[in-house]
Amino acid sequence: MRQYILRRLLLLPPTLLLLGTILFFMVQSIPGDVASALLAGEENAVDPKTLEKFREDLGLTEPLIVQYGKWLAQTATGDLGYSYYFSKPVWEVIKPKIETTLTLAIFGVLIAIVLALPAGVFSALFRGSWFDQFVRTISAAGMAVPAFWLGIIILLILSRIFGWMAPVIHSSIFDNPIEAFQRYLFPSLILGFRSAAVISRMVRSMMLEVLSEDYVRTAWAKGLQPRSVIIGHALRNALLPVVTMLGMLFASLIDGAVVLETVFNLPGIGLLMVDSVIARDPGMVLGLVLSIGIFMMIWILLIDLSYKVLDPRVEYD
Amino acid sequence: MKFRISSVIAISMMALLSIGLVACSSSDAAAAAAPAAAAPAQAGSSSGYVPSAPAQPAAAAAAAAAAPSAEVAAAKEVSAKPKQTVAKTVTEFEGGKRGGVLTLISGKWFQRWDMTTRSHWSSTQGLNRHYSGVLQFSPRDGLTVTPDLAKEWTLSDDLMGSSFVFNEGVKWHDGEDFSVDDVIYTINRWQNPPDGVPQPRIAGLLLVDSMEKVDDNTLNITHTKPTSRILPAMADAWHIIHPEHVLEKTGGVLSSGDQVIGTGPFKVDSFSEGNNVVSVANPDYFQNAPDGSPFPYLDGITSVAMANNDLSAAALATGQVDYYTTLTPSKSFPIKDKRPSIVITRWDSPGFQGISMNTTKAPFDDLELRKAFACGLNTHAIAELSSTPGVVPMEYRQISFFGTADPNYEDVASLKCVDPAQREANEAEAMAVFKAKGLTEVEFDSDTPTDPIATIVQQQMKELGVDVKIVVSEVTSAREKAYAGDTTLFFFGQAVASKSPVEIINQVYRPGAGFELYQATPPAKWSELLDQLDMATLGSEEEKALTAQMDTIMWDEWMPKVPVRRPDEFQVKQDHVRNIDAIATAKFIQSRFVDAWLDK
Repeated sequence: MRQYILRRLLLLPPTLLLLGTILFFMVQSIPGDVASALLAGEENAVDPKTLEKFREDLGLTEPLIVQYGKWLAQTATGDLGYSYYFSKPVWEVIKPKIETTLTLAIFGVLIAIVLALPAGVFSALFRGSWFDQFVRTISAAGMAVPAFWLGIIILLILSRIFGWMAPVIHSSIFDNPIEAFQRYLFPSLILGFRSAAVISRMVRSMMLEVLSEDYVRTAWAKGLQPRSVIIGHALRNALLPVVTMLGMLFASLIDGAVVLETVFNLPGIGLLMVDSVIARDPGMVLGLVLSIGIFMMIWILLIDLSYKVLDPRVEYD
Repeated sequence: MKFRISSVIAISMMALLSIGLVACSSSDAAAAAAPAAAAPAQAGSSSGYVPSAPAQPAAAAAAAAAAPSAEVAAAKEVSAKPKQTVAKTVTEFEGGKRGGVLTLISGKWFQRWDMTTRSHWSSTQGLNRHYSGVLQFSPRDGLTVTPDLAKEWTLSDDLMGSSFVFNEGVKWHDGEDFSVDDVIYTINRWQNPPDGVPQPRIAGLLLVDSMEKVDDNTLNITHTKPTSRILPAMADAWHIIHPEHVLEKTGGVLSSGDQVIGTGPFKVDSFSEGNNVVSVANPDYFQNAPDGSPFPYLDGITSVAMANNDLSAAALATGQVDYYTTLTPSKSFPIKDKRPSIVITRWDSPGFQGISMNTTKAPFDDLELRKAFACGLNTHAIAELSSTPGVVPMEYRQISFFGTADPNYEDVASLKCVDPAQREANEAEAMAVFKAKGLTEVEFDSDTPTDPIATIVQQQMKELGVDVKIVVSEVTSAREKAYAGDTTLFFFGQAVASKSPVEIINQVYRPGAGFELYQATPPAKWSELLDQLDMATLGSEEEKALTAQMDTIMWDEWMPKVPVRRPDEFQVKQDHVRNIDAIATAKFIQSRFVDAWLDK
């Protein structure tokens, strides 16, 4: 187990290097740069001579390989770099946004689990019933409806019909939990609902498969309580691929947060990513992707390690 | 069969959701049309749709009548020489109730805490209230230069120099004393910014050649040329004064809300990065109301950034925010359905939107073709087609070269290339030139797929025998293409911080402004007139006469750009918000809210 964890952790730097290198050259290959974004803004233009001088000041006129070397040397020391667009170190820009996106994603996952597990289990247990049809219909709709569309619909319905909207002034969940709950409720519900749509279908099909296994039939034959058979024997075994999927889903939740943060005005990583890409801020984009990359790799490792808890037969070495 | 049933149910549910969305959206259109019809009846009411220019005195009068302690200050003389007509009075402050916190939407998050490094108006709405300038434009008309940190000023007879006398006892928010050295430091920083610090709105400050500190409160400035334009440059909403003692410690870089330390009427209390700035009244603010009581009236201001207009509209409709300087008509008018007390006021934006022609290459290196293209376009139709249906009068207005400050603004429709009566003749003339010069196709770069301009131009030009190929790129890529000189036609817009033709020239036509990109060199006569204009007094008859002459030269001998339209904008506020008039430049000028108050 230790060797496995060590091996996985050792894979982290080369993976990040590859990710960063590909991204570095991708960012550099798209037209425009942070100098023009800074000088021109949204509605202004700029004197080409001033622009050129500014590019020199920022080191953007240096050969690409030199810029790459500098980025590599700085990243190797654990420094995520400097954002010219925000005029501060990348980590200082990212840090205050983490809470928002993480809260949104965690709430999303929790809602997804709360909705999907019972829906998937009961859907499988009562296969073909009206409940099964209902869950499948809802999950089909959940997968088909785009998050931003649903977000805007909810926003319009709440404000136009009910005359209510969540507090617009953002505060930390630790400072004002009640207001924060109101702010996160609907975006989390949307995120959770969309994820639940996928998970519930998976739980249903896995449960159907497991319920037809011999050991489940044996459990029933032994006269075990239904709760023990379904939760202790069937669900536990059905959950293994679902947990894998949950891990992947967390990544897509961060992806979905990009859209929902824009719709619901939550100052998180998603909005930051959009602004940084538009501003062509290479330091910020690279720093963000590397941060998310590190987080995701550790998250996936934790998911892999959780298999052992669910199924003691799993061997890592 | 089961699959079919679930599919049918799923599709039905999606259809129901779609109907819901359409119902919500269509109320936009209906509501947009409704106020248009109701506009005449509501004009001048304190809570209805208020037409722009004529309504302002009425709105002010209504506000004054509503104010228990309403009082218009007596004009205060400043020591400007009789020769200049600028700044004869301080802003006509209107008394109001004290207390309360104004919550406003500051547009999108301003991204950079140093507001001088970003040209977007969200910076002024979010940050300007914490600062002061040497001078400032009146929040009542957006054009008159009034005192700020400097209480008096003079221009030398030859206009080669100016002198500013500053208020005494001014303190920074951190308790340090303000001094003339801070002004010198700030202007030097504008002209020689630290590496990586952009200064996009520098134009007017380039007129400063050197500065001399006469004493602790007096500053003499030598100009690079004879000009009176140093005054509006000092009043520009972006040209705020920074504290030397703060920026010296950070190498001239301001990168945190904690470093937002000014001398303005409000100071930063707290902030949530990306969302809001909570400001409280500065108890040491140096300006007093005319009755001697301290400014500001408000206890505080909270500005909230909103990522989209739907959210802004919802925040206004639910009463969570009090004021937003600009919201699209399709979003603003439906709010009145839910909240009839909302006041929507139309104001003319000090902007210029036009088509840039690359004159360094064919076909638009040819003046005749540029003129034919400009006159062949039906800008009235463009303004009409790109306006939100149902908003009367149109959201966009056709313009000549100086946008809002157009010398021919009142009768712009009578200009040769704009006059509907001459449309057929203009089109025939344009078509003949295109044919003679062999212009059959041209590329039009666009950075906004949803903006109808390119499509309208394409359709109009097709009728004149020219095939316009639209190339759509994402905004930064499109801009980069323009910088590289790879565009032929490019639609652009520019907002200016003062309702003055000189500001339009500074931002759009003057060499070095930025939008002179690939623009033909101005005729010598035009440049001579510009020099004279630089010496003319702001808003004077001389200025009007000069710009009228320049406008004629631009149509006949230069045609640097195709002037197309400028937007009207829509201020939305709760009815208890007083003393924030809807004027041109409201986005920039009305961002300190020194005399705004709440009638709650």
